[in-house]
Amino acid sequence: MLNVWFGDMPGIIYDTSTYFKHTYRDQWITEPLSVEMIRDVDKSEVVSSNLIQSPVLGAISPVQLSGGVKTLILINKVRDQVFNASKCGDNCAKWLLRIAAGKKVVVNLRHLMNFGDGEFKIMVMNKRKIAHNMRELVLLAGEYV
Amino acid sequence: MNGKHIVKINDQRVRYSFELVRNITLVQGDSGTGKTTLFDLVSAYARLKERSGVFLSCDKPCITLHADTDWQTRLAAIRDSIVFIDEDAEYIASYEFAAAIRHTDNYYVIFCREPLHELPYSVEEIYEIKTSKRFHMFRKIYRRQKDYVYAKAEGHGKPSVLLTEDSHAGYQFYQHYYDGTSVICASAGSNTGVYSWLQKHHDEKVFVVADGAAFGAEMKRVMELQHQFPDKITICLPECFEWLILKSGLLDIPGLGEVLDNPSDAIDPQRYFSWENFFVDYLVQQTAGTHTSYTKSKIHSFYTIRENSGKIVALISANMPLGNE
Repeated sequence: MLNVWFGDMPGIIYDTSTYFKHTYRDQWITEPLSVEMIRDVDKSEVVSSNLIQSPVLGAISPVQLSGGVKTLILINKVRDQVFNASKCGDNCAKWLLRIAAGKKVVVNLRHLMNFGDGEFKIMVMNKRKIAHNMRELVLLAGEYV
Repeated sequence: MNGKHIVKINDQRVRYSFELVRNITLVQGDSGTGKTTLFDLVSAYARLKERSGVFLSCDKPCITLHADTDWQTRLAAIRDSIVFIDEDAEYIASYEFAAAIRHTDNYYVIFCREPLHELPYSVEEIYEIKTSKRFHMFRKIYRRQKDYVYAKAEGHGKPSVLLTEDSHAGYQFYQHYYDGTSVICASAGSNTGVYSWLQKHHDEKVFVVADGAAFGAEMKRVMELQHQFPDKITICLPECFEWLILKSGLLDIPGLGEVLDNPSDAIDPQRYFSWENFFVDYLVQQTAGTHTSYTKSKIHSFYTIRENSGKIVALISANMPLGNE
C-alpha cells in the first residue's frame, strides 16, 4: 500500500534528480515497469540501458528523463530512502499506486496529488488513516499542504 | 522592474515562448512536459550567451538560480532580471527565501508543485507547459470564469454562507450588505484559513470571496475541495476587495482606468510584493482626507450605502447568496 507523509518531512531525498544521477543502475532502466513508465509519462522509448529515444529531444541518456519518471524509478528501486514525490506530476499518480500495489511504499508529498476518480487505498501517515478516494484524501491531507 | 515581458528561447530541438505579467510566476503541471528542459536552456544561455547554441530573446536578462547552498549570495547580486529557479531548490518554500526576494526588482519564474505559503503569488500566474510538436507555451492551470469564479466542477444552487478570507474592511462590507437577511457572513481570518473553514463546514453551501492576487498557494487544495463538493462550494477570486471598489466605478480618480487596464505597468514589485498590496495602498492614498476615505481596518459608511455597495457586488454577483429577507 502507498503510505504518504504530507507536508514537510525532514531527512528525505528532496533533490531526486541529483540522487538518481549518482545512484541509478543500468538494469533499472530496462526493467519492464520502468520501460512502461517512461513510455507513458515521457512518451519516450527505451532503446538500451544507456539510450532512450524522445520524440522531442531525440536520443537522450537516463539522466535526461523527466524528474517525475526518475523519481518513480527511485521509489520503485530504492527501499531504504523516502523520496519527494512532489517531483511527480498527476500523470505519475497511477504509477505510484501500481508500484505500491504489492508492497509497502513510503513517500513524501508536499502537494495534493490527484489520484483520479477511482477507488484506492492510501495511508495518510500524518493521521494514520486510510483514504479510499480523492474526497477522503482531500479532507484528510489538505491541512498539511 | 515592472511591465510585461515576453521570453522566447530555443535551440535546434525545442522552442518556448511565454509572457510574464507579474513578479512571481509558478510553473507546475504533468511530468515530462519540458520544465527541466526550459530551465536547462535558460541556464545554458545564462552561462555562455550565444556561444551556448541557445537563442534567447527578452528585454531583460534571464538568469538561473540553482539548488545550491550559496543561493542567498547569488541572489543578492541579481538586479532587474528574470530569475528562473530550479524545482530541486528546497529553499523556495522557506521564509528566508520569501524575505530575500521581497523588495527586489526582479521577476521570478519558479518550477514547483509544492504550495509556497510564504509567497503572495496570484492564481492567475500558475501555469503548465503545453506542447505542440517542438513548440512549448505556458497555459494557465486555473482559468477564470464569469464574475471571477473558478471551478474544477460545475455546481448548482445558491449558497447561504459568504466566507471572506479577511476579518476587516472586506468582511465588514459583506456583513453590512447582508444585514437583516438569512445569509450568514463568516471570516476565515486569513487565506490559509479558507481551506480549514471549508474542511470543517463542507456540508454547507458556501460562497468564498478571497484575494486572487495572493491566493496562489491555497489554490490547489481549495480547488480540489471544490471539485469534490461542487454543489456546496463556489470560489470567487477578484484581485482583492480594494480592486473591486476601484473597478466598480464608484470613485472618480484621475488615471484609474490606465492603472486597472495595465496593472503590470503601474506596480513596482520592489515596493509591492503582490498586486493586493498595491491596490490597498492606492485606494487608501487616493481617498485620504475625502468623504470616501478608505482604511483597511474599518469600512467607511460611504461604501456600505446600498446604492454604493450594490455597484461593488455587481462585479461578482451572479453566484452570490441571494439574501432573502
